[in-house]
Amino acid sequence: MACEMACGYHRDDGFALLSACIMVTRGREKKDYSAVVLKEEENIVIARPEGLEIRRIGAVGEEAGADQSKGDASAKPLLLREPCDLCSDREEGPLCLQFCPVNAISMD
Amino acid sequence: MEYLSTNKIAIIDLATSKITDRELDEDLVKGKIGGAGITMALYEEYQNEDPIVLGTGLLTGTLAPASALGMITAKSPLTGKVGHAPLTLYAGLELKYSGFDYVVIKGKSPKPVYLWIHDGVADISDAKEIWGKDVWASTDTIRELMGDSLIQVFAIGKAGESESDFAQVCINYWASGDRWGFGKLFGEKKLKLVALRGMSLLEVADAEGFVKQCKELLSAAKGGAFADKKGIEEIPVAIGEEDIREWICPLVHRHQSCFNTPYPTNTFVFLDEDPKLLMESEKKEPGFLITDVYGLLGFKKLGLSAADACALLRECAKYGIDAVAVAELGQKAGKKKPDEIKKSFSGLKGTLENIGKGMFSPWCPHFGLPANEWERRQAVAYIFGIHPIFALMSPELSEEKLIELANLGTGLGFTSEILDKVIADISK
Amino acid sequence: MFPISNRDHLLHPPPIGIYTGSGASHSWLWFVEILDRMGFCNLHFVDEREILSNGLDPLNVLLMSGGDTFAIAEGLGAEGSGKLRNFIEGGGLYIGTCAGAYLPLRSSMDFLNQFNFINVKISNISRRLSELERHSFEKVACSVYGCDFVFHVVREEVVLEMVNGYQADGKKEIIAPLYGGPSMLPSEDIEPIAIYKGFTKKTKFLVEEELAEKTLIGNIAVAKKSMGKGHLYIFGPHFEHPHYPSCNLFLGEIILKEQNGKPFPIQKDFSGDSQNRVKGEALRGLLKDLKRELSNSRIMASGMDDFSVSWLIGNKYYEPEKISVFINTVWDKLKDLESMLDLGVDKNLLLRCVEISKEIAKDIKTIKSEMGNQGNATLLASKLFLNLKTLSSNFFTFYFRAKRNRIQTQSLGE
Repeated sequence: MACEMACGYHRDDGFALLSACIMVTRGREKKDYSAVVLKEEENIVIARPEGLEIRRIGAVGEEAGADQSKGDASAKPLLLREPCDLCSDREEGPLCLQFCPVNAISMD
Repeated sequence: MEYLSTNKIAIIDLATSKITDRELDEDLVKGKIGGAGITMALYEEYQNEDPIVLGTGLLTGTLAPASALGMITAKSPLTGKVGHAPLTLYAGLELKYSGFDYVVIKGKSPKPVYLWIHDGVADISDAKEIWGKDVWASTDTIRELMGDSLIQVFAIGKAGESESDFAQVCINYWASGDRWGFGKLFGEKKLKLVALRGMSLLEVADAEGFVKQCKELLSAAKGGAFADKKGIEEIPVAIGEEDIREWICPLVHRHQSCFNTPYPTNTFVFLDEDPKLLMESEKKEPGFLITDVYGLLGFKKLGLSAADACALLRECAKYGIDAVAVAELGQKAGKKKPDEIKKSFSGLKGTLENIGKGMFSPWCPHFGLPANEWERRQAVAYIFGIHPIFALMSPELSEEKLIELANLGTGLGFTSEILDKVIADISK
Repeated sequence: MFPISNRDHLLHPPPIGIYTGSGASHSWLWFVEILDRMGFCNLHFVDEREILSNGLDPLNVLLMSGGDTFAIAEGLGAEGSGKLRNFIEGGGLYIGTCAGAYLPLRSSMDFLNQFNFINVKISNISRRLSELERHSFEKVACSVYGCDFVFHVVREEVVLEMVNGYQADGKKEIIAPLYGGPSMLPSEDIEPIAIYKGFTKKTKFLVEEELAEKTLIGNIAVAKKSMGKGHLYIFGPHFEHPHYPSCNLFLGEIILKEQNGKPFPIQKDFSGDSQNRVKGEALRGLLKDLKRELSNSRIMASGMDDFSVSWLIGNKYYEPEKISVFINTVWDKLKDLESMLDLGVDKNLLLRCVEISKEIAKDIKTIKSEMGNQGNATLLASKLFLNLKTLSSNFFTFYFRAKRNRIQTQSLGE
């Protein structure tokens, strides 16, 4: 979750979680199961304990996970959680990577 | 208070259902810094009304390493003195982001209620649907009602409702560091739980300077003595309980950190599922998150298997009772079987030998530190909002560094003299 | 505040309508944000019903942003088209971006053929392609258009060259964001204002760059047409996107320029009936009620951001994150209102907002539950987004009313 905070800082110049493009899904607390979700330009990348899943943004419910080569080209951006830009305006690179307290994030 | 703060204190009177918002005065912060410094001041202001004060440290919920801590400050039914209990995991963070740095709860409600604190709004709601439910069912119900699984909940179970001296305020489904019987205070006030959620934004005075300092501190802390270790079992090993690893390891699923804390002080064990399972379990409640070292050790000392000990810890959390008290009093009464121990929850009575002597919950081990040094380090942790266990593990988070960070974050010019004074004020 | 040269509009703001009816997406919220920043506080929100009931009469400007052009046309119908024509011919200013730009263009398609205000063709339509090109472009087909289809070759940034003496923020070349807007071919019916000149590093190509160039470069991105006493300005790119201040400034200056220097005294927004107004502590209480319900809604909605589902409503996809967009736009402005407690606010509108917010919270919860059970929540999502639009437009109605009253009070005080 420090990754969310760091990303939120990158977006908002303050500490907030609302606009982070990386999120830890903590909702299945009793099952000790969580995932890290990263919003990219066209995809949502879900890093689960058992492996990686990549889903197209805007995949319709029943078709989620299926190959969706056509997004809506005229869709207006939502300006809330903007896609990951790898903190391109920062010399040291992604803040989430730098601030993960348990070294769970890396970049090739 | 402009920086690192929501600038609000909620004063909630359960007797009259009146809720007042107060601004967090910058002068108060200048004089008391934050966390236990301010919760103590608020306690003293309202002490005739027997308050429970929830609070956050000055750095809680920022990128400062281990800035996870919230706290409850109140008069302990066990000791008769004011004590501070830690709120870890994500509870401290959520308290600050719910829109209030501090919440004062006074008076007694005529009927069971719960507090829903969200985005700077505090609501008192009827708890008749959840009164009588155990902690797990209560948390599930609130999350379902409010439609969000990230809501943080401080709840009491049957122990608190029956005003047991050993009732504990639990965090979501797990034991907390409440060793003071604050669950009884909740029960006396007919307060079933406090639910928190919010999306605040905290401004920072010198944002880049603060973040740079956080990065340096994190790097230093990560390279510290506990660098290659993780999990709750390493903590008792550090205090001489070597054989715990072998005992607990077969059940370990994963280790969990509290917010932004480099060392994962919590360990999730699977009791009804294969611990090696990576995928999501199909079982609804496959295990338990161990957050309390002494509770675990207490049951181990009774000669229980790891599975039985952890299952009992789970039952304690559901019941909302301090596992350390259950284990100690169980041992005194010669109870060794899980069923007998579980039956002892209701009506548990006795005098504990292992009650904390100071103001800060003895949930946090001493790691061999002399008492006065431990107290000071806890005070610093509780003022700045640093995880108390991690504060002891990481001398890199020195007082000077934390003061520097506080100044970068707030621009308020704190000094070590001010910190000394605040520590002295809390300790008197 | 944006440095618009003529700041009279702060005291005498022209009445501007923003279309929020059928087919409007969420980009009209961008107009709200940038106009608020620029000090235009005489904003009104109109849907098709209001347009049909002569809601355009008190306005000087109508802004039509992005969304589903066919749904907008269908919602307005022939009668709405007539109202719009009368509005413009009578001296009104129409500014259309993206879907709002397509709406008045010549078309033979059902519903769109009731408009046909501007005789201009677009280059991003399949009938202009060879068979081979048509096959390549099919994968970026956006809307079916009879036997043809409208397609889009790029998204995000494009470089525009201002022509015919126009400049934006003192510049002849600007960067603007394009999300499906038209690329217009030269026509005697329009005066070009800006043409597509090139691309940037942030341009996202949906086809090969060569094909994108062929479709866009040199064609018209922004144009003006006179109709009777009024004008239409049509924008392919979204000049109202809040992250493009030069584009926003251009819009602001066009709005002011087209007022012909006429001052517009702020109209009294309330009737003599003071029971309709609430202020002081009573207003604080009601705002807190609204804040409570909005908070409940946004908390419920926040947990949906990691869902990769979307709902097809009309011809457009709506994602769960869009729910948060609407709620947070209102949330952010609520704070401003909390500092204006001394001014009266329309009590009934505020109460209506509280009620709609409660309904929104309830619907979000149900949708979440449906999604958790792998159910289909499209119908409910459709209702939800309608409520979100209603909430936002109602809220901004009394928000801007309060701002206007503040200006009036301050200017009387002077």
